[in-house]
Amino acid sequence: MDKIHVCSTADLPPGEARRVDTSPAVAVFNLDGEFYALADLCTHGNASMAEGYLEDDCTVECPVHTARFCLKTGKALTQPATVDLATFEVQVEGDEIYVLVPQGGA
Amino acid sequence: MNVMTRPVSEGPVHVVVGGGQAGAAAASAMREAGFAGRIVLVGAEPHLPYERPPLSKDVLVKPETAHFAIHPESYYAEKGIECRFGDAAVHFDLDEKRLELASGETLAFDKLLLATGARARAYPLLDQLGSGVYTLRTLDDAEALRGHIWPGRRVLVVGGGVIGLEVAASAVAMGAAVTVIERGERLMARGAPAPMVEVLTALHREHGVVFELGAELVEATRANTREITLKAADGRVFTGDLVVYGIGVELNADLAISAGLRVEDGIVVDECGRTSHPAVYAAGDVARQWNPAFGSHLRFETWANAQNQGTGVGRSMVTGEPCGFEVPWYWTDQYGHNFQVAGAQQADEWLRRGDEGALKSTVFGLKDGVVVGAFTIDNGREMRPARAMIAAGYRVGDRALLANPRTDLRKVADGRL
Repeated sequence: MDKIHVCSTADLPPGEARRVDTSPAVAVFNLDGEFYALADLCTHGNASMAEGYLEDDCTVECPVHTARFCLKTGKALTQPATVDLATFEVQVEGDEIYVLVPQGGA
Repeated sequence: MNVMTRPVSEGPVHVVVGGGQAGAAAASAMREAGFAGRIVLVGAEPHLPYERPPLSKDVLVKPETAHFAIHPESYYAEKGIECRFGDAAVHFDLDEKRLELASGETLAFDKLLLATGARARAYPLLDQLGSGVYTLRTLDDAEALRGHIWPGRRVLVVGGGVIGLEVAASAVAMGAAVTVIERGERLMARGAPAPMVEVLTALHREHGVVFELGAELVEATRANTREITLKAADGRVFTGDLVVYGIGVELNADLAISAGLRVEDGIVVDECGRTSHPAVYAAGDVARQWNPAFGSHLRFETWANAQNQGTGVGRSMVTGEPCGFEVPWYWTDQYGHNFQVAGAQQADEWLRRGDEGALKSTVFGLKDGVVVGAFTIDNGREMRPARAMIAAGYRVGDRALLANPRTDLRKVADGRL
């Protein structure tokens, strides 16, 4: 695993998301102080999940065609998506956020 | 195709006629709602149920990565949904509750759902040219068209609606020279806010698309060179190598009409999706459903309606509960930009929220100071709160606050700002 620096916690406030330009890209979300990371590219269409709509029920809605995914499991919850998103581990060290991606992904 | 055709369960039988978005969604919803009897999904096309939005885009431009099947083949067996794809329903008998298929098979049903959709409206003036004339409604249509567009081809798109404009954008991406010919004086006249049409028109022109508005075609001919010439009533002449037309749809309501069901520009259904016969339901493009929020029967030709109404009616057929209703919503993707439209498409004024000169924006349609509609350009994350504002009849207080793209629209929508 490669440990990629995302940003400081101050730069990712609750309700916001940030795209990390790994290959493939990862979206890191802050939902009420909890951090989650999913593959950034929607499994249905060409859309960045970091641009999506975060919901209080721990889901994110794709900004382009409104497919919803679970932040914890990446599960595709509503159509048009039927394929789950990959999930990634997030680590917070002090004030800095990191995401663990498979080696070579950076 | 390796889908199941044998009965897998006993008990009551629900037959779904129509293997599109609404039919597939309804079959799934019946199982989700706990229906344990037989579900038979009948589709006239020899394909697994697929999404139509990609047909005018990825299926044309990048077919190798295009994704359009709603569910994989294995899904239908997993859910115990028996499939009859490539077989059309030809007749049903309401007294006997039996459906006849083109193959000769007869299906007895307890409840029947008509999700028969629509077909591309024919344009005889163009059809008589024979080859070189295409429409775009089905997967087979898109695949037939794809091989005929290449760099330098002159494509005449007849009809400036969503399909016409999406095909124009795709043909441009494939290197073609595109002319869009529209009978009316504006594009997307049936279903888009005027300020969004302005943005779309400018976008197409930047990409070299030529618009010919107010052009009523009166003559279509083909030369020995295979070149097609179209003439308008006012004398304008357009030449090209092929024609793609999209001038609306005709509903597949023949089965319902011959069975004596109430049909008035759509099969008329109640809040549960029930037709004038209690055992027969309808959903999707072909259905005109009672909507309590509007106090009238409404029909929509959108992906979202097919999906949500299909799901709602499928569930109602099991539970008897009325469908939920959402603010009407659709999207269109052109030149890599995402446009989404919700609610009313006419308004007294449009209030734009976005940086000066940027395409990315959310625009609210206001009537008497109340948000009645909205559209987003590359800003889909604001569509959810915008729809909530439309549903709630949000009255605009601080206009500057709403127009500032830096304010959090979620907080505006739920009253925190």
